[in-house]
Amino acid sequence: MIGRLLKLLNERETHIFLFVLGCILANWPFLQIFLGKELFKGLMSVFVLWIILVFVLFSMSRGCGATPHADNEQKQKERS
Amino acid sequence: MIDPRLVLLAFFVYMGFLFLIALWVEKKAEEGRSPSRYPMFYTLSLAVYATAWTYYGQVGIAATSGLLFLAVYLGPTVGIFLWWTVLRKLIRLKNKHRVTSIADFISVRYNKSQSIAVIVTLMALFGTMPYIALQLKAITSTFSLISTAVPLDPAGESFVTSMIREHVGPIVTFLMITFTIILGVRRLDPTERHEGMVAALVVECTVKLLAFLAAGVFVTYFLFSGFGDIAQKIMESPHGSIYQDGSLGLERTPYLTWGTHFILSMAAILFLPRQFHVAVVENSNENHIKTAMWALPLYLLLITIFVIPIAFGGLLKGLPVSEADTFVLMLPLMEGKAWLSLMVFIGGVSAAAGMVMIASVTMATMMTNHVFLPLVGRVPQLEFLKRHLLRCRWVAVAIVIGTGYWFMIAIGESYMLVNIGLKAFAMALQFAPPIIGGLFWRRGNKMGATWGLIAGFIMWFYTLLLPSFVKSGWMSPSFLLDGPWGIALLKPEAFLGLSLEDPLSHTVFWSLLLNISFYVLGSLLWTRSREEESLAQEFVDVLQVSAPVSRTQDRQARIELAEKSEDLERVLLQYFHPRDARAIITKCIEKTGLEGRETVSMAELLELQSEVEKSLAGSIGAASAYKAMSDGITLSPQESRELSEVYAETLKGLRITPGELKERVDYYQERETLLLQQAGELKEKVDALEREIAERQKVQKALQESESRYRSLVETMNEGLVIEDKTGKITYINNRVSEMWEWSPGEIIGRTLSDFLEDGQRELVEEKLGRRLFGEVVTCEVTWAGREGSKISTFVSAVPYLSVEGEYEGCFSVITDITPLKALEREKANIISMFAHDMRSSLVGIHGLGLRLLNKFSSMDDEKRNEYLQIINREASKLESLVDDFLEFSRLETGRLKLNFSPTSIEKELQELQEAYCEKTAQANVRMDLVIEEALPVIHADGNRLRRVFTNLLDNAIKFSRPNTTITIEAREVENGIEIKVRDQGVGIHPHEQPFIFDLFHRGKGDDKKDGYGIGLATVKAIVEGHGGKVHVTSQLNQGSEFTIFLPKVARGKDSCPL
Repeated sequence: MIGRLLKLLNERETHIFLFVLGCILANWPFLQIFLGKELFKGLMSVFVLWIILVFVLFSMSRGCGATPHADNEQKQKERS
Repeated sequence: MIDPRLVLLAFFVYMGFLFLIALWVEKKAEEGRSPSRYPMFYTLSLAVYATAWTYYGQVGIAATSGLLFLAVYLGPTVGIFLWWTVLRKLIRLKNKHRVTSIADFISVRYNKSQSIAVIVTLMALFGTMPYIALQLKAITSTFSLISTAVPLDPAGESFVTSMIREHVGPIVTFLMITFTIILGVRRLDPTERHEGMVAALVVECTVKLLAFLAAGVFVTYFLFSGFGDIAQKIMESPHGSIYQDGSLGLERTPYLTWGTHFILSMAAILFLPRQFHVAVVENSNENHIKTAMWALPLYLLLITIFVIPIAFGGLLKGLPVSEADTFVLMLPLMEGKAWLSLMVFIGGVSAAAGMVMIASVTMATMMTNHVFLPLVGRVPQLEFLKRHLLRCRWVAVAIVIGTGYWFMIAIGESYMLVNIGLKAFAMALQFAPPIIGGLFWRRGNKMGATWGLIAGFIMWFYTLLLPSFVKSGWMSPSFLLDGPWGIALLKPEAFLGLSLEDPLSHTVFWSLLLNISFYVLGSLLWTRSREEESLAQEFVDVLQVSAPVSRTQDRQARIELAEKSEDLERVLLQYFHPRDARAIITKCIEKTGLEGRETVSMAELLELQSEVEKSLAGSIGAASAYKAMSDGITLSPQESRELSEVYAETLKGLRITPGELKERVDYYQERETLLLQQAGELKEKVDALEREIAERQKVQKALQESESRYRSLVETMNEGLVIEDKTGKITYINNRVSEMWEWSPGEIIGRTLSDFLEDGQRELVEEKLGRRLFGEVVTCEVTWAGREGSKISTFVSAVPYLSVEGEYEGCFSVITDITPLKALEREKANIISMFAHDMRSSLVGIHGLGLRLLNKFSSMDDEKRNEYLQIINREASKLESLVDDFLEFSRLETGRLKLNFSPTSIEKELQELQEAYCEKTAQANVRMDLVIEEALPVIHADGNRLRRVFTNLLDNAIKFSRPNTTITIEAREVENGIEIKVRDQGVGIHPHEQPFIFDLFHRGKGDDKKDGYGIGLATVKAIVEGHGGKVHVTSQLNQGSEFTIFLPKVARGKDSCPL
């Protein structure tokens, strides 16, 4: 299950979907849901959204496979 | 207030510390252990995004426009979702083309166009200058603030203090130039990576975060009582009016503005020249992106978490809204927290200095590579300057920072900090179309990019910068109000009649619209050169793994390598010291594998030239390097002919035309892409299989361990286990079965249970066990025949196991050996029979004599009558004794023998016993000695029961003593109790019997067995242990036995003694 989720998070289409979703959630009209509340509740809602985004990004970063290109480059540098 | 000298000293110490860090990191990098290999190093360097504008300015926005500031940090967080594709592409292309800046990158994509590089550089310069001005303003204004919060008496000030206070701007500018040159432009680096400077940046980013958090904690938890307290107070204050009705100040920050800031910041975090530099040029490993993807948004979240409390805290403390930008510093100053203020100031310096350093180095590189060098190339008199590239960079740094300072003096005062920052963001947004288009759209070309950039820049300048000039008083206000020449449609803030409430959104709309439109139109209308086409292909497909290109068959190596090396060296000498130029050539020759060669082929020469061009591009940019190589390297007619021949031969070998070659290349590239895709899918499947195998191995191991545990349990358990298959054959037995049946496993396995049944009950048992074949659980007693003809009584529980379809598959039989229980039952039956027999004998005697007395009482003489009565009395006594034994047997059977403790004199009990046994010992012709050397203490015990103990022991002693022997009773006080020994000189007890003589119903196997019931000694043990004492026996055959009893002074037993 986790493997499938990580694989999904490695897909470019998923990145684009999350980007679009993030844009929608962090702008009008959804933003009104967060900010149209009492002062600190609104602020907390935005921060909770932010933390969720960070968590999704963290999961996504786990899913992004190590690229042999970068590894080889690093090894070459270490050798030199 | 803090003494200006102390503030300046702190500034110096901090910058000196950064310099040492930079030196240390550079040294480590030379040793190959650079901290830049850690992903967090890269992530923190990206946090240069949070400049003084973040540090001070966001509090100002929060105080005036509510939560609008959050858009600037949420935008990048959302934009980062695309980094794994976009940023990775940028980094790969940077590595491939040795890109040195954002201008270099765009120019490389669009045919290494110098004109595009110049345009981008000039645009970046326009966008960066105000931003640098903003940072310098932050440093100078906070410097003044921290050192003049409470003005000193002018008369009391020293000359130095006064001078520092008056010339803080030039001093800071001079120091910034000096430190930037020392940290960032100390030498020319062919890769344009500055690990020392980035290390300083990392420290600065850490310090500014810590300082801001410290200020936030101070305001939130020391000045107020937490977030809730501040929220409540601000809502009750006059400032709270804009946050009531759930509006959160949104009427002052409409969603259009929010959206504009969101888009601008999303682009700025990657396309601001300094951000591009740290994110792309300074990247050492593209995998570092993965950490930056989540850690950078987390950093941004942390640095904004206390913005609202600080903003509201300042308002509640009565500070003016117009000075909200400085609340973060003012609040600790107001409260007299000098060290915290100094820390906050250093944090601000970090935020500003980091940006100034990296931005000025980036701009200096772009200016020298893309403006200065092409210019010098056109003016022969200035050719010599190419050799002084490093010094030129120093001058460029000074110009950039100096101009920034001038900008601050000239127009900075009329702006709030935020305005300058957003103008730079809007400029950076203009780079997005050519970069994103260049990465994903093959048809995007040089002409489109050029026109798009120019259009975007013009709109940015016209709609955003010119109004700033007007607002600064440099131009007539009618320019804004009526438009140029009174044409309303050309009004900068209402272009073509479109008037948006927010001027920034207006600029973003028009500049982006024109930029994209011209880019697309230009690209569609103009065709690309073949080289540009190839570059476009390379940029778009850079993430696809390409198969290694096999070398074409080399032609004869006829070109003199030394001669060509000289040509290449001559090109390099225009920019480098001869020593460095030679070193670069040598390195390139080594890299292409041509060392030691005198002549090379055309293909090898081209490879060498490409390598040198890349090295040169690292210092002067790809476009300039390409131009320099094109101008500096010429091929002789023969070499040109050979190059043509190489190409023609390639086509001839393939027997195709150039057009066909292109089609085939496209076909193979497509095929290769498909193959790579399939390989990727296969790899994923293999990975999944490997994971599954690993999982199965794990399960198998767990099963093996479990099986091992159960096997061990089955092998060692006291019950026998037999497993049969569905034909009734035994397939498995444990050790206990083998022991029980006295057959080896080899003799049992393969046979059936019936083969081992005892003949007498075979039919009955087979009938009972047969029910298991119908899936019924069977429990019954079974007697087996042992190897030697013995009978083994067992209790069998047979549990059949069935298939999924419910068919009988076999059976597990658990066999419990009940032979000892059976023996015990038989023993009990014998004892009861003996009881009955003995009682009947006595009763028959009493009955007979009683009848005779009844019938012949009168005719019987006295002597006879007495004799009969004595016999009756003796038999009655015997009967009473039998009944007592029977009762005792009954108590022992139920397991409870009641004890009544009271002070008891053992000495007295033994003496009375001796007297009572005088007659009995005399009859048995044995002597009884009682030995008590010292007076015994009175103990807590049940005297009646103890008498029973001694009686049983003495009866046994008398019974097994030979005539004319002595029975000795010894009693003495020992530690915590009394020890009593009863010793006889009788037949003794066989060693095999000794461990069992205290067991209930155990009777010796000697001739005297018939005289006892196996209760006496069991009673002794039970009573003694009921007192908390112990009893044991030592004996030798034909020599006698000695029973030793220990009784504690205070009985530890209970009022009953379980058996």
